[in-house]
Amino acid sequence: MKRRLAFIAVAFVAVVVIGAGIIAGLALKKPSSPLSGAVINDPALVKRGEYLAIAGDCAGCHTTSNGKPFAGGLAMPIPTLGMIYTANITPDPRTGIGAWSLAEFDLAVRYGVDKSGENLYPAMPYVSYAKISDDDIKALYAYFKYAVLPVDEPTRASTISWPLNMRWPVQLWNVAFFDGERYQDKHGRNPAWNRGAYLVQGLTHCGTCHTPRGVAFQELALDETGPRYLGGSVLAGWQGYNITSDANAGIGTWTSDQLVQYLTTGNLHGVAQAAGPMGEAVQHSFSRLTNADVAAIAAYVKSVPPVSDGNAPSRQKLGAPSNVVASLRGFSFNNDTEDSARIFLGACASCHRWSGAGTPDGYYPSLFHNSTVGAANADNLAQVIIHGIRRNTVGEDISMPAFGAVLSDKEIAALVNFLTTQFGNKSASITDNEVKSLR
Amino acid sequence: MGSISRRYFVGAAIVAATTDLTVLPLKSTEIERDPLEAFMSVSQSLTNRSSLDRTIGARLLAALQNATPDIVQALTPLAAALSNGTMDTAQEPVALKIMKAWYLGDVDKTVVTYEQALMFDVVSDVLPIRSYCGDAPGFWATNPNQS
Amino acid sequence: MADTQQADVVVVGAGVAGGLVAHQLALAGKSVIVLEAGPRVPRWQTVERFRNQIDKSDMSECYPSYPWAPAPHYSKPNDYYIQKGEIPFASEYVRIVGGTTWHWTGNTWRFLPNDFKEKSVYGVGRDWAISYDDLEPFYYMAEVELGSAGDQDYGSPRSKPYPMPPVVMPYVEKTAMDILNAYNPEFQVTSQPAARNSRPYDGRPTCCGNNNCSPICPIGAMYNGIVHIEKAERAGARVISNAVAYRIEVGPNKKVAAILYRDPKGGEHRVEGRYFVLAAHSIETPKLMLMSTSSDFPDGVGNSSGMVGRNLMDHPKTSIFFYSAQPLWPGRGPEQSSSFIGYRDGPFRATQTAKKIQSWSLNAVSAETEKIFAEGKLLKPHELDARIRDRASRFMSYNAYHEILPLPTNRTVPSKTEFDAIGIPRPEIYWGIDDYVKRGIAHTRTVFGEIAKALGGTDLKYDDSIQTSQHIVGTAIMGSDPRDSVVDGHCRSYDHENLFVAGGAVMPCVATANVTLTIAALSLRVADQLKREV
Repeated sequence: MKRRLAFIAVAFVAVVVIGAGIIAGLALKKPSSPLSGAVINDPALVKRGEYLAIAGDCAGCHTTSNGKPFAGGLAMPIPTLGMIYTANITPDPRTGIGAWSLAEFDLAVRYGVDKSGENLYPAMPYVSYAKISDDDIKALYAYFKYAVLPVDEPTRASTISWPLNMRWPVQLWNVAFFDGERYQDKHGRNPAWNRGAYLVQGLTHCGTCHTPRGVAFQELALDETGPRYLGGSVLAGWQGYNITSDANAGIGTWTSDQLVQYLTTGNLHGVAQAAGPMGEAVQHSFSRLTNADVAAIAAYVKSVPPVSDGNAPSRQKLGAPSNVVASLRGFSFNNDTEDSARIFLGACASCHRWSGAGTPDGYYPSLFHNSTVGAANADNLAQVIIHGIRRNTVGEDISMPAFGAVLSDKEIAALVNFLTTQFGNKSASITDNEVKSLR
Repeated sequence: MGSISRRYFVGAAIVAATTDLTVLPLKSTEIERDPLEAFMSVSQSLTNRSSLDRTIGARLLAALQNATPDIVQALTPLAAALSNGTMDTAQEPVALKIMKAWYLGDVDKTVVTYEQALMFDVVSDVLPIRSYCGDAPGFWATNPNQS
Repeated sequence: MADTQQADVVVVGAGVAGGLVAHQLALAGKSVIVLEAGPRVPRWQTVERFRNQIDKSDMSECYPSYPWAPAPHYSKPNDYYIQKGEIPFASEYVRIVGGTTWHWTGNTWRFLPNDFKEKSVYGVGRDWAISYDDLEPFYYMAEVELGSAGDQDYGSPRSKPYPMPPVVMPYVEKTAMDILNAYNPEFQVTSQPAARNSRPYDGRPTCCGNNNCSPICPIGAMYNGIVHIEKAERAGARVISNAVAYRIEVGPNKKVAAILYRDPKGGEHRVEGRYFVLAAHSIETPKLMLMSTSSDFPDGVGNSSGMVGRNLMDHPKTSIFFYSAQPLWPGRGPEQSSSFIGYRDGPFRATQTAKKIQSWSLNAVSAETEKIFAEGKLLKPHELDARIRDRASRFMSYNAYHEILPLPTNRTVPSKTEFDAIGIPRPEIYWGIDDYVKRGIAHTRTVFGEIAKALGGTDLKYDDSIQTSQHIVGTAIMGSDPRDSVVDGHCRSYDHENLFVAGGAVMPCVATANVTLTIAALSLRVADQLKREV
């Protein structure tokens, strides 16, 4: 990991030096929006914009857990550079986007340029949002201008210091990796598929977490025609799994109904449960979309060409019930015991049962045939143990306690390795230091 | 957690109606070979369960041997008696000890199993074992007597 | 002296009382040190120890007593208490970081307004130095801090609604409640307010009904004092475990100067502070005060009234067990979800004790299976299974918490001859009940009979052995008069202006309900006062 970062740092410096020259030479033009004029406060338009903001999960980054809606402030690490904080996008005229025109709003969302002409880091997924149609941008603008409550809170400054906080190198990155194309319906595909493709490639920006990235952190593909699209990635310490149609590496064995159920509830009994960033996506976005839209998303995702990852077995088919309890029950232990099986019984089995089978109704999930426990990379499993899960959708308020404060790095690593050996991929493992870095 | 299984009572009634003593087939050769094998066969026969956990069985047998060192000798005649339906009252204490061990999960106040004690299996459709979640929160509000 | 440490506030006892005080003061920017006699034991270990124990009805075996921080056990008696009274006092508490609310059942009752003025209203017992109204805002604050769930005021007027509704009532308790209230509305069977999550709250999950509130909630859906200890630590307080306080040192102007403590090896340490809060439950707190004698304070610290250690109170408890006519299946859901509040208050309190009656919905399978095997008959499996199901589905248990008045003769005193492994005196207990209680207990017996009758009960068994209930209070009693009280209305020692007591020890009555919420409210009030002064 360190070598990779060092390489990227060197690459970045080279880009900066060379890029300064290229930009001067190319006299790169600032992009301009095709939209102009004002947008009236039409209730239907505003309502549609609200729905589209849910589809785009703007709140996912622009609303913090104890902050006001869309007032920003979420810390986002920019690789090698430091921390930025998401912007206040409420219509406050001074600290938010209240003074922004439709064209300026569009430039930010679909072109990655803010009102002052500065480039946004592609942490703002304008690379995906570029696919959004003109009409939808107008609706979004109407929502943010007329329905969101203004909040007077200045956007927090980034921790990135000069010269690394210069934004113009992003223009070079854009030249290389940003095509800015609108979504075009594909001939020969039905309307549902195209609707799904439009949403997935654009508003719901699944690729941001699920498509592997290149050396400059660019997504390797922006639609199903590109290489390894939705083939799996890592972002902010969480693995966005391979969700292509590969039967082993991806979700090829899932039916459309199963994928719809997962997206709308976050819980597919005996297969997968959403947590971390995906749990939030389910709670704030997918669970609140129309049935037709979720079905469309499922239809598109299921059509994405398979991306294999070699011989790794299907992560939802691994593992078997545990019988450690038969060997441990009745035997006492000391306060300083390091037995991971004992930790499993004491900390996990209360909900997941001594066998790991979970409860009969699947509310407390099984640990075997569990696509998180069965993954080749144990990071997501470690994350939910450290941080717990809170996922609140209509009719269900799921909570798994966090064990980060109760178990040490060593105990969590031992526990994760016990779990993957018994219930998942035996070659998936984690070290004490890796646990520490995920906290 | 669902309601009481009707099948449970029907099954039990059939067994009660058709057998004098609940018996599962025992191979006499197994009994000589290995005390654990004998113990498992006797246990399965006594409890009328065709698959009991062997790890638990080994631990229970060891605990029973501690308390009753000659219990292994009693297994062979007990197995034979169960096969023939000729168990006499002198053999009942040993049989009772073995039943009790499996049902309660302990021998002489020493815990061998808790989760796998048969007594909990008997009510598993209605009662979670203490310290383990039953089903989704709220399951306990429903009437467990309704099928 | 091995070392000296300092803090603005020194708290003795890392339970719910000490945790709430430490948290509030740490949030206010004060430096806080909390001393806890016992070790830190994570929840998962206690859960596994519970599952390993032979008698699952023993609610303290999974909290081993440590030689340097012994705590009383009664099922496997460890002779920590030295019983010197007419009847044994068997109440237990837990001496580890997090305290006794590791093993409580989660019930968060407020006391009734009349409980605060029993002397004025009924001519018995004592009046508190504060009124219900004085404590009400802190009752609410405590309910928010602990995550209390309820659906009515249960006779204690409220300024604000509960943070959340109760966990849904188990079938057994709802069915019984409806039958009993129809049988005799005087019973007034209601839900039970409890710090048990009916939804995710404060980072802790929803109750999943694993029927194990006591001795340990396996998943943290029920509140335990460890929550505020951990919050206090995150806010900057320091908790020192395996630190057994053995002396309160008083300096000039009668102000407490330091607490001395021993570690498990007997090494001695000193903690100095500006303010001191004793939050070590109601046996260890007075013991520490009484041990701290000197020429200036020959009767111990804070004991000019002679009341430290006296007025020991708890809830004398009697029970009835029977088999209901219908299969109600106790053991599904939380252990306690309802109570009879009809006998908590009334003019009768002038002559006999009030009480709260509650059922206990505990999984009865192992107890009933034991009983069946104890009959000594070899049964066929289907018959054995049917009997287990039949008995477990109908076993009912009701018990009653009676009030005992503060009697100075009921007391705890540190022994002069018996010591624990690190040389600290063991507590002597003098305990007996009087006719005020006995009259109430006799009435309870008839009520028990009515309950059994209403539920078609058979094989009635009364337990009249007068157990205690782990609700130990009174031993550093609050009052308006320093001549017969240890602390004033703010729980401040009358003798030492920088010494406070947070916990049940200050309570002038035990009334009829579980005491933890009142302890929490009083502790928050102590913290409130300290924030002004420290």
